[in-house]
Amino acid sequence: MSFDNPNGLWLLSLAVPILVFHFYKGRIRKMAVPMLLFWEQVIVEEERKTALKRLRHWASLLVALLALVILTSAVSAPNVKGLTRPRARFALILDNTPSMAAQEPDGRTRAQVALDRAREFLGTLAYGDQVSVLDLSGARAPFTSDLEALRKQLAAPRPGPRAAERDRIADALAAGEDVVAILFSDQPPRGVEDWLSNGRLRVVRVGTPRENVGWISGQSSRRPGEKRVTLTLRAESFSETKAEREEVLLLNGKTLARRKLELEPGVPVAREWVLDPATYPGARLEEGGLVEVALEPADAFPVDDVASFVVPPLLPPSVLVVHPGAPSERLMHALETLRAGGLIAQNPGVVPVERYGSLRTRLGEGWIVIFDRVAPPALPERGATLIIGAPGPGGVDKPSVVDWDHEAPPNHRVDYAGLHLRRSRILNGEPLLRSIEGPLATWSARGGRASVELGFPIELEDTDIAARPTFLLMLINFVEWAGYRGLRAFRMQYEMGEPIRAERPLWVDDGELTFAQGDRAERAAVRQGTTSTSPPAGPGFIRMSAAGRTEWAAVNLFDASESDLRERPAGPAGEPLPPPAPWHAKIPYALLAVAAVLTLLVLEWLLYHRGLI
Amino acid sequence: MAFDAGFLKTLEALNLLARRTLTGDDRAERLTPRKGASLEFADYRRYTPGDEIRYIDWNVYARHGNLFVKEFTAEENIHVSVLLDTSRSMEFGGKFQAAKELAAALGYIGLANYDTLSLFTFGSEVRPVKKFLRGKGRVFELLSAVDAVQTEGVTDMRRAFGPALPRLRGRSLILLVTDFYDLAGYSEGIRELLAQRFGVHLIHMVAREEMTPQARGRFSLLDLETGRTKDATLLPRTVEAYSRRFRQFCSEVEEFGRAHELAYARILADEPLERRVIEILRAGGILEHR
Repeated sequence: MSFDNPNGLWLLSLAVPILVFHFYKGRIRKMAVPMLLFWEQVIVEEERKTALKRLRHWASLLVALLALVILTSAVSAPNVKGLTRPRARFALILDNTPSMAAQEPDGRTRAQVALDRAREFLGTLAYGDQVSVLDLSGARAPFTSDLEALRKQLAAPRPGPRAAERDRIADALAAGEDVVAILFSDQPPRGVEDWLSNGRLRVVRVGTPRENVGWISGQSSRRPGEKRVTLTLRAESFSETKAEREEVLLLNGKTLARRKLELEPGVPVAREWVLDPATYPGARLEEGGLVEVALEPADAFPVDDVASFVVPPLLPPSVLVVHPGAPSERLMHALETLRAGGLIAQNPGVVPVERYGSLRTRLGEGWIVIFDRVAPPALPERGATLIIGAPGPGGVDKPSVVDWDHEAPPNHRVDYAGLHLRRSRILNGEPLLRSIEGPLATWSARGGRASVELGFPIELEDTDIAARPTFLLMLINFVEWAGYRGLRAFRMQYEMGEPIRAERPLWVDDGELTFAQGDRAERAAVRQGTTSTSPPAGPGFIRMSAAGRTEWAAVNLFDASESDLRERPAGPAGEPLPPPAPWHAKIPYALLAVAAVLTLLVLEWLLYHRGLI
Repeated sequence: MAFDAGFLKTLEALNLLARRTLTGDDRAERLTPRKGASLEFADYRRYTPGDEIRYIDWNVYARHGNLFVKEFTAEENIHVSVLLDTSRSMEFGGKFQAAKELAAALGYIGLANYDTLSLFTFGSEVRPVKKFLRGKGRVFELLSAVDAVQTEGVTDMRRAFGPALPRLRGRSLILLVTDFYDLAGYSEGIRELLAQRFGVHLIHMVAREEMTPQARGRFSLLDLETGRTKDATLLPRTVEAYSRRFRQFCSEVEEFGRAHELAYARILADEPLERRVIEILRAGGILEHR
């Protein structure tokens, strides 16, 4: 006989105080009475009533010791060969990769089938077995022995990537040498032969092979200054026969166009949609929006039947130049070039700095404000700003450019080498352009705001930057970036199952951000411009909103391996699932033991203290 | 033992009641069957030579032509005897001390009413402690005598009260202060007193612990009077049965008193003395307000 918790045997030491107390309470004390007569009368009556009276004292001790033994056995959990089995710990790993969303012929998804199998397995376990539930994204419920509650709480996990499958299994097994992981998946796991062979991993395959047609890749592109977006997609048929579908283009849920699509088995087909406002008059495509390309009719795996894209506004941003008395000629020439190229909306507005205050509240996203040689009295609440040569402290003479941030969006293909500067301020912030003394230009971006500051004016007497293509290139990059992309905290595209994390600080420092997808919404606390949680993305569009501002992102699968729902190789066979526990192993022994102890204690009280027997 | 002045005043406002009319030795305030010189008219009697002429009723003589003299009830004191149970059972639960205090208080009431007071103790025989005390001035004598009384022996009322009480036959009011524990039976002893034409009041001393014992468990019970012991397990229902038996015993004593027209008062030993006196007053038949 062994014990799951041998430390519980220490409870037996309580027998000593029980014995001491028993003999203490059983000792005979002397008591004077005025006359024995009445006592003798009633005591004789008592003695007549039962022959067990003499045994009562020892029966009381026996009952107390029996209660202790039962309690000890409940705590120490003995294992008796043939009667009990050692308590086991299982980690149930639910595959939450996108292919688990495929529908089975009976209407359930593979994830639901996996859940049902997991619930069935829970029903076969013995009382005291412990179970933890994980998914392949790393979400984990702690070990619990309340299997009934776990069965009720078991819910389909949110989608996640398959990439770290072995790591997740390793996490599950790391809980202890005795833990057995059981993976409920529609695909055989890879690189886990060692665990399969030693029995620490068992696999429950779910899902029947299905044919499927879906998008396996897609992207949207737009050249600077162009007023159209091109969607480039690839579709593939994962079936044995030729498939016919209809492509449906939708803008904000409204159908714009349809066309036929024929797919040969296993041959990817490239498709392109050009979203030009001129092609779809009246659709208000120039304002941007949520574009979907759907394959109809939908099949058993709807996740890859729709490709989603967030299309930015195609209208160029407006520009306002704030100057000290007269705008810089060089700047105005550059802006004129941008306007001619369609990169900004119209001739830029030009106002002296004194008038800026009255205009500030009207500015927002879609506006770029350029402060030409003036320090901004206050930055606009939203939108982009470019500050050129604002007066201020920290100026240095003839600084030498030593480096620049090649990855920063405003520096795309820009070369600052050999730039001459007569004087510049040394700025604080993320360097865009660096000298030995410090940053000569900085950039920053967060949700709703993007900014670049140059520490020097662009006049010829100050620098030769305006006489070179460098400045114009930087300006084009800035306008293209700050018009839309630079104002976003979140990316426009996420992969299915990827956590929706902001790439830049949010537009609110503290508060709450709501992630909404379909009829499901999740709130996350915002502290210092970042969210505490990042929900995994499901397919379609997801809306992030806080403090009256909203950003949309598109989520797509675009993974041929997940879209392929056909028969997969069986993979290495592991051991089968443990056999169901016998009926007596399912009895909640600890509860029964506690009930028995309570019953015995009541019995002891009735027996000894009430003398009912 | 000492009583404060306030309590003594309270006692002086009380009077001992006698259900039967008793005769005394001295003039006092209590009416007797004897004819005497009080203002209370009793009867007419034919005039015989030697009668006081001032007691002749001349109105009767005018109507009937015969001489009658008026007789008046005599006002005398009575003799009060306090019989204090000194058996060992009275030691239980402070009954003896309470009984002594009560005996002293009742004795003082008698003294304050010009009655003659005697104090006896009894167990298996009656022993005089103080005899024929009169007047409030003897109260200190009474108190010190009560103080000196000790418990001893067992109760045997029949044996104690069988012989006539010395010089008291038919003339005394007896206050019997006892717990009535008498293995031979208390009734025969009291009947002996009644046969001697004593007026008897029963004052039953009871300890709270003997009414409702709190002890539970295994005990060796020791009889205070006989010294006998008995091992017993006191279960709640054993104790309940005992309490029932004890209440039955109290009822029996009370019923005995009622059957023989004796005043009866059950007094809890742990009550304050004033409360005990009030309890006797409330029980009725023993004390009255003057």
